[in-house]
Amino acid sequence: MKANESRVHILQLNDYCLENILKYLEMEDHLSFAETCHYFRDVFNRWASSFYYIHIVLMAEISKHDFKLLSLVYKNVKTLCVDVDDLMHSLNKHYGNERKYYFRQFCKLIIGMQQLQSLKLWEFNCKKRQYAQNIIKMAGSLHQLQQLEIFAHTYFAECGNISRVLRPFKQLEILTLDVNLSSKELRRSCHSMPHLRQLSLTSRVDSSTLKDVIKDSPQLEELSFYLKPKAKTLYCFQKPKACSSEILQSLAYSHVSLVSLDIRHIISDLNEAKLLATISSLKILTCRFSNADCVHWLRQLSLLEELRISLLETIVDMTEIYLDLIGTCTRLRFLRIFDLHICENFAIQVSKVLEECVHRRPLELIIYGDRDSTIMRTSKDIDSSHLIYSRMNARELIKCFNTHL
Amino acid sequence: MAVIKLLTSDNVIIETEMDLIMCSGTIKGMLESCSGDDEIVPLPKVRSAILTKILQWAQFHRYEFADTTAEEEAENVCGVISPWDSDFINVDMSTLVELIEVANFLNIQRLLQLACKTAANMIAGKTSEDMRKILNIKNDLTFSEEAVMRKESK
Repeated sequence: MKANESRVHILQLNDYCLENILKYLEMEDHLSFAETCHYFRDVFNRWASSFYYIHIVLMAEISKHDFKLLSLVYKNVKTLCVDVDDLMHSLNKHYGNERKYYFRQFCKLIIGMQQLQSLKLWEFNCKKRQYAQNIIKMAGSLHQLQQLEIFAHTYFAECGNISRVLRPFKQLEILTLDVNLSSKELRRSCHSMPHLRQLSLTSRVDSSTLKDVIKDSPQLEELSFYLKPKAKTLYCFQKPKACSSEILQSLAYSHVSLVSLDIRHIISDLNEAKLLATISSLKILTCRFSNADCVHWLRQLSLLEELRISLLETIVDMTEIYLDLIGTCTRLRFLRIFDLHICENFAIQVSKVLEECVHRRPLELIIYGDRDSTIMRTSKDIDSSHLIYSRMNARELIKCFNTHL
Repeated sequence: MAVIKLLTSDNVIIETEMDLIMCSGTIKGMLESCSGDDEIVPLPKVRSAILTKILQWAQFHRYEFADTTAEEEAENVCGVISPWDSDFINVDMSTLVELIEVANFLNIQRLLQLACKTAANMIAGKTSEDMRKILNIKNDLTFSEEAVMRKESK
């Protein structure tokens, strides 16, 4: 057959056919494809916006192609994760003295990301720390943005007045701050975000600030925090300990909607545990105790579905209390226990408790104990329709300790 | 064995065995909705040369069309192209484009994926300028559109 007999030109192919070609190509080819002609550019944009390239991660080695791609698809990007240190390193590598110009171009793209819903930023090493701040400033004009996560140690303390940068994010629903932020700034920042549903504060926060934040966030469903110890505690015999009573009290009485809570400091006071147990709306709880009796109170949380619990500085065998908790909280479907004194056949005992319960969802149990080899051997005797049992793996362990214990 | 008549765009009637052309979702659908055995199925978008080629492909693969769904078929092809397929699809770009168009019209997913993958291989690793040459396309982008990430002229 002669080529000139053909009556179909590639520009006559529909989106579906061209998308099927695109899916077999690499990112660099996508860029060349999009730069071929108007029609291909449009096809690429439609395809990229509905299937591909709506979640962009800029980390590690960021190539010139990555920047170019971003400049093509930025209008449709929904989530963006940027390691600002890597970004600046790559801009420097590719553009040398012109890196500031290209950083400004990058910032312009951020302003154009009108579909952006989630922005995550990491910045730890940059000596001049204005870059992440600039990106946040640009994102302040994005009205679709619901989620903002910033991880930058020591950064805010040096820059000062970050609350001014965070204030435009009035529509935010999810905020994660792993930064050193003054109480005043945290209070101001959160005050301007009435729709906040999830708040995660990795750095230490003082009790009265957090109380104010909770008061200002009527929609709060998930909270994760790490309290500062009280400044005036005597430091003679005991380390100063954080006291979350006030916080727990205000959560119990003002926040019927709170579903998830992660308390990152260690609770030793029985009263705090009692107060914690009065937040009856809780379905997901992560907590750390240094007093075995605290666990006993959790049985009051009848809606509890997921529980992550760490027992530290105790030497008691808590098996009975755990079993009682499992028997009472009938909605529980995930339980992670970090306890070095957990008994050898704990999983088998749990399995027996669950066998007695009818119409109950199977429980996923993850344990980190001292005699882990013995614990694993027992798992063969467990009926997996009631209990899905495993030892804590390295990833879970990191999650468990991903805080300043 | 039942035989079916297909009328191509260049007014050629091609007779083929019924089960051979059942790989085409479009023709399968058409036959389910018509009654008579002697009917001629018009394929106004398909030239006889292309149809012959497609039947040749269908003949080779006729016993592979088990009851796989379109999605499964599409996935199957994502792997390595077999030597026979590779030889079959070794055609010039304009024929390849026509095969894509027709495979899409006739809804033959495996052939469509084969042709698309081959087209992708022909342009992979090429610059946009090279792609234009291969695909016979004129550049209608203005400089600023083309140079999105190049430095703006000051």
